[in-house]
Formats: sequence, C-alpha cells, structure tokens
Amino acid sequence: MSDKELIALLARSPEEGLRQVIKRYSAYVYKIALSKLSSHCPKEDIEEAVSDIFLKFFYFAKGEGSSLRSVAAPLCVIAKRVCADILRARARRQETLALDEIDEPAVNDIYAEPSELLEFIKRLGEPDTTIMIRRYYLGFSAKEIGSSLNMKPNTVNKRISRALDKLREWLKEGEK
Amino acid sequence: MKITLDKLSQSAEMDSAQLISSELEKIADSESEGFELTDKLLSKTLRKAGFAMNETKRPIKSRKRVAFIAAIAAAAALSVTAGAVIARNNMMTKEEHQEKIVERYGEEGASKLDEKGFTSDNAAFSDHFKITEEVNASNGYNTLSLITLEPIDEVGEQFLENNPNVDFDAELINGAPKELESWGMGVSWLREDEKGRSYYLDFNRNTNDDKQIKISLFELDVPQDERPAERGELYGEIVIDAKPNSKGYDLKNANGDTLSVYDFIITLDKEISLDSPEVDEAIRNGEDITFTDEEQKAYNSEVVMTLTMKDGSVKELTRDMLAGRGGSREGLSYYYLNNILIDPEKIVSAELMGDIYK
Repeated sequence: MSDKELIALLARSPEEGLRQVIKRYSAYVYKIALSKLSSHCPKEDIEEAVSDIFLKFFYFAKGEGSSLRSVAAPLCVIAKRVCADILRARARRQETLALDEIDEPAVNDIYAEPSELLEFIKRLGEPDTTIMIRRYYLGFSAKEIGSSLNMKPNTVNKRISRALDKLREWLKEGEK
Repeated sequence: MKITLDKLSQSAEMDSAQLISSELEKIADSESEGFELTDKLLSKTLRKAGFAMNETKRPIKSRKRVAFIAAIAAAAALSVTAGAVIARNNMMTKEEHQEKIVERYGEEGASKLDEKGFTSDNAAFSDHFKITEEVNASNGYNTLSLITLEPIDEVGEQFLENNPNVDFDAELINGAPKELESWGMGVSWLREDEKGRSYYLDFNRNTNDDKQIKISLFELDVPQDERPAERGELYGEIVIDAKPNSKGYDLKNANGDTLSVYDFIITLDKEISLDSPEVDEAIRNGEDITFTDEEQKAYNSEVVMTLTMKDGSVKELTRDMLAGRGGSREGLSYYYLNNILIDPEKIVSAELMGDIYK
C-alpha cells in the first residue's frame, strides 16, 4: 500500500489506517530507532519507543487531516524527535553518557541548509542517494547500509567518500 | 539555519523531510522483508492507541491467582488513550451484580448481607471501566470489600481479554501519614465472566478511625520469561468506606483472652496459629512441607473452631473457611470468614484450637 493509499485509509478508517502504517513501516521505524538508541537502551525500550513513534504519528496524522502529504517523511521526523528526547533524558540521568555521544562524526566542511543538503543528496543519483540518506539523514552505519543493500561496508564507505567529494564540489560552485 | 552534514541526522524538520519522502518510502520497503517484530509492535501500538486487537494478542503465561500486599503509592495518571471508542451496550444489570454476591455467599448469605446493610451501590467510572463495590463490611480495623471490574467499552474489553492479571494499590485517604505505615491489603481473585471480574479484598489497619480507602486497579503484565511483572495502565479508582458497620460480640477464655466475633471476621487478642503442631514445628524449623492434593484437602477440612449458638446448634469452622491474616496489629490474630457470614449476637460460646471462650 503506497503512502497515498495509506493517507486515504487513515482519513477513512483511522484504526485500519494505523494498522497498515505499522505493517508497512515497522521495520523502517524500528531500524531508525535502533540506529539511534541501540548503544544506550535495551531492546524492550527500543520497542516501546517505536510504538510511541507510531502513536505520535497517528495523532499527527489526525491533526493534519487532508493536509498530510506523506507517511514516510513525518514518521522519520517523529522517530528522530522521540529518540532525541530519550537520549536527552538518559544523558540527564546518567552523567557517564555525554551529550556529544549523540553526534555523528564531523563533516564540518559541508555546511548548508538541511533542505539544500538534501537537494544535493538527491542529485547524486542511485544508489548514492539512498546510501547518503541512510548514512547522514537516518544515521545508519556503513555496516547496516551494506547489509541492507548487499554491499560490503568498504564499498559503502568508498561510495560515501566519492559522494562527499561531489557535495563539496557542488557547494563550492554554489558559493561562486 | 545552516548545519554541517554530520548534523543532518539530527535534523527533524518536517519540510525538509518531505523533500526526500519518496526515497524514504523506498528505504522503508527495502527494510521490511523478514522483519519479525511487526506483530508485536502492532499489538503494542494499537493498545496504546486504544484500539482493539483482532489480529494479535499478547502472550499471557497463565491465569494466575492474584494475591498482593498493597503498596502505598500515588496513583498514576490515567493514560489509557481514548480512540474511536465504542461503548458496550450490555452493561451489567442490578441482578447481575447481585449474582456476584450470590456466587460468593450463596442465596442465603446474599440475603443476609442485604438485611444487615453490607451490600453497596458504590460505583466509579473511568474512561473504559466501571468499578462497583458489591459488598462492604468493616469493624473499623478490618474491612472487606467485594468489587467488580467491568469494561464499559471495547477498549476495556480488550484489555481484560488480552491480560487476565490485575494489580492493586490502596491508599488511606483523610488519614494521618503515620497511620499509613502499618496496614495492609489482601486481594484474592474470585470470579470472572464475560461481563467483568470480581475480587475479594480485605484491608487491615492499626486504627479504627472513620476513614475511606482509595483502591486503584492496574493492568499487570506478567512476562513469559523470568522478568518481573510490570504494572501497566491504570484501569480506574474507587473510594470505599472503612467505617465500622459490623458490631462485634466478645467472648473470653479462662485466661481473659478476648475472642471478638463479627459478621465477617473473628479476631483474637493474642497470636495463635490455626495450623497443626506438626506443621507449626516444620514452619519454625524452616522445613518444607509437602502435601498431596488429597492430604491438603483433608488438612483444610479439619475443624479448628466450633461456635455454639443460642438455639443449641453448633457451627463447625474448618481451616478453609477461615482466611488468616496478620501484620496490621501486632499480637492479634484475625480470621476472615470465607464465603460465609455468622450472626455474632446468636453465639453462646466458641472453641478455638481446644480453648473455650464464653
């Protein structure tokens, strides 16, 4: 069932819509939560977080009504927010967990508006677009990406490295 | 606001996510193959959303007899979320509530409870449940209450259908804090049908001031593995009276010990055991006692107390007719009467474990 169909179903029958959203997106949301929380939370907490994400999405979708444009995008955003809240709460409780552990390794020289960065990533073309979204937007590791795309982590890293070069180049061109 | 690429994973803006919605959709599809947690997550989320689960059910280990000691705890906020809730149209009738009492006490006992003013129409509603107090009897120190938990909509029905375990909390209200330090609650599962569940509760306090008790009922999740049970959603709360409504009749033995007989409970102002000397010794020595089912049945059927009534009749009370409790008042024994009521004013004498009280 496509996002368009899911949105229509959510409007027509919220309960059935939620069921179908979970069926289609449970692995996706779980993987996002896992990538962000696995170092800090037990499996049970991650499952709780995933169900909270779906629930928040459900209420978001109800609020949006016919304005809802996508399922995948808000689910991803809500997942990130819920995971960030959990990590912040844990960082407050456990002094040993430094907040900078939440951060990704630095790619400081590639600097732009989030929408601009994503437009550039879209311009890369497949499979680099999906690799870069998974790596830098969803925060998956090279190993996880390789496992999903049937690539060796080394291959993933090489493609990331070449993609980063392209992004730098395009950003420089944009500055001129 | 500009960010570095490494911060993009923290970006949670809806508009920018929309730019790559079709890519995210494809990623979701590629991740879903072979994912085994979908049913579990579906079940968990639908429960939180307040929807019924037609396709998945939580695994429940077994139907367990519930027996808890009350903890003094603030009741959690009601977090059962109301979704598209459909109200039940077959709520329990007055007669069905009456049946709950008959199930416990029989026809005669139920009539007697009614005559003596121990039946109650106290009820409280939460979002998905109605809690009814069917019976309330108290001598001030000891209170028994028979309550029924009844779902009022499909969400409530689903909660009880998927999880047979219920947890309880109790809190004295309008009482001085120090009084909360020494009291207890016992809960035993009594009866379940498609319309609700009834529980027999007893509360034991170290004061007999007029007080009320707030009882909170929670979902209790009992995992199939070794993990401890966890309290879940708050089903609802009801406030019951702990005011004395049963008058006691005192009998004394040769040593001046007082046996107080009430309609629903017998108390003694010293600690004695209803167990046999052999069992008592084994307990003192920390030895295990093993009974076959038949031996247990025979042991529980042994008469431990006889009551001689004014009309000359004798009532024999066996171990399984008496539910001993302890803890709220040191140096005291008390025995709730299981399933039966007695008329204290009609008693002439009592024999308890060989000792005569007149």
